Amino acid sequence: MHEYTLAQNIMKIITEYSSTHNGYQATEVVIEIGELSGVMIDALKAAVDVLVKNSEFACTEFIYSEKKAKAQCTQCGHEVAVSDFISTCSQCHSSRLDIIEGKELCVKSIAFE
Amino acid sequence: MCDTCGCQSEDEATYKKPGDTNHDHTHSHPLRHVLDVNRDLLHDNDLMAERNRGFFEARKIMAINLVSSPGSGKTTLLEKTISALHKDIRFFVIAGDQNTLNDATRIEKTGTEVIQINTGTGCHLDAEMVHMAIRKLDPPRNTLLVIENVGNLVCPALFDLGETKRIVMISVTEGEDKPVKYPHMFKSSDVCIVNKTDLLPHLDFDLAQLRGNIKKVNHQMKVFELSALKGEGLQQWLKWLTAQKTP
Ligand SMILES: Nc1nc2c(ncn2[C@@H]2O[C@H](COP(=O)(O)OP(=O)(O)O)[C@@H](O)[C@H]2O)c(=O)[nH]1
Ligand SMILES: [Mg+2]
Ligand SMILES: [Zn+2]
Repeated sequence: MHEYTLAQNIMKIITEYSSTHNGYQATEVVIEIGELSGVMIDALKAAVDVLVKNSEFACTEFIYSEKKAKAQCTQCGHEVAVSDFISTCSQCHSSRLDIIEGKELCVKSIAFE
Repeated sequence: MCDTCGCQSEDEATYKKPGDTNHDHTHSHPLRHVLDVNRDLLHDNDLMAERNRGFFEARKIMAINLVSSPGSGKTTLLEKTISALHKDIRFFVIAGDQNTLNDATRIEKTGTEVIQINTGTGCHLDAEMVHMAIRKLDPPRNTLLVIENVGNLVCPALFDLGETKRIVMISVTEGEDKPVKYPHMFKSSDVCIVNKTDLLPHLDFDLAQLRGNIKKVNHQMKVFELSALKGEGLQQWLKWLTAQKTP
């Protein structure tokens, strides 16, 4: 359900950027979604598809790029790849990890032509 | 197919004479340029949350964002907390709900000023809604604002309201694996209240397993186990809240 709000925000952002690019069309929008952002790409895609239909971005290509998650162990400083919030450190087995990458949720780039 | 504009797909028929380039039509390719935007999708909400946070800090207001599944006992705990502490702490409440005014009516009976935000189909409160509500409520300095969020463990996790503390509640009727099933909410909360402990004797519920799951997801979580209805364990919670309010 919150994906709909996020899709609206995507529309807001590309509308804002488009308004300063008169004569150009946004042809490609890259959206970055962290593995641990709490957003399901399919649900976001579906919401964007609904909003895009019959809008000035009907022909714009939306690319969803998933960013893998990374955590740092608060005990030994080791960096580990994680895919959930309950992983443990591969070096010292501590469960006290801080997520340092993978929570991203942003419009990464817009291509105009 | 044209590499620049992709104007023709592979499986279409093409018509060429010897010597023709593979571009059999003319058009100009406007200059393509890619803009690095890097704009967070929650940018507007986060900005407004920071405004709210500034407001709370300036007025020394402690703001709590209370989240749980529907029916975990948020309103009940609020009622009990207010009646126990109202002599020492002045409370204000923002109650989020999709449609009804029930929670606001219950809170009002405790003599507390309350605003209900009905979100309609919206499944969470956002910082803008809270901003409008605090403008209306206008809580004075040194007060405690409790924001009872819409009953939902998914969406509210993403929306910072500018709160001082996020408190997630789970009742023992809900299953030990909830923290693992809704990790975003448990990860982003500061405190977890395990409610309805009075029902434990009647349930096959493994409290130790729940504790383990909470710590797995969020090793910094402060946990209270209590029964909002019967009052057991309530004292520790009240003591903690009072201490937070008067540091
Ligand atoms: N047995 C028991 N029931 C409770 C407790 N706290 C709340 N309830 C009941 O749970 C139901 C939902 O409570 P409510 O406070 O409205 O939940 P909310 O939706 O989270 O605000 C009500 O029937 C309450 O009486 C508790 O500690 N023990
Ligand atoms: Mg309630
Ligand atoms: Zn480690």
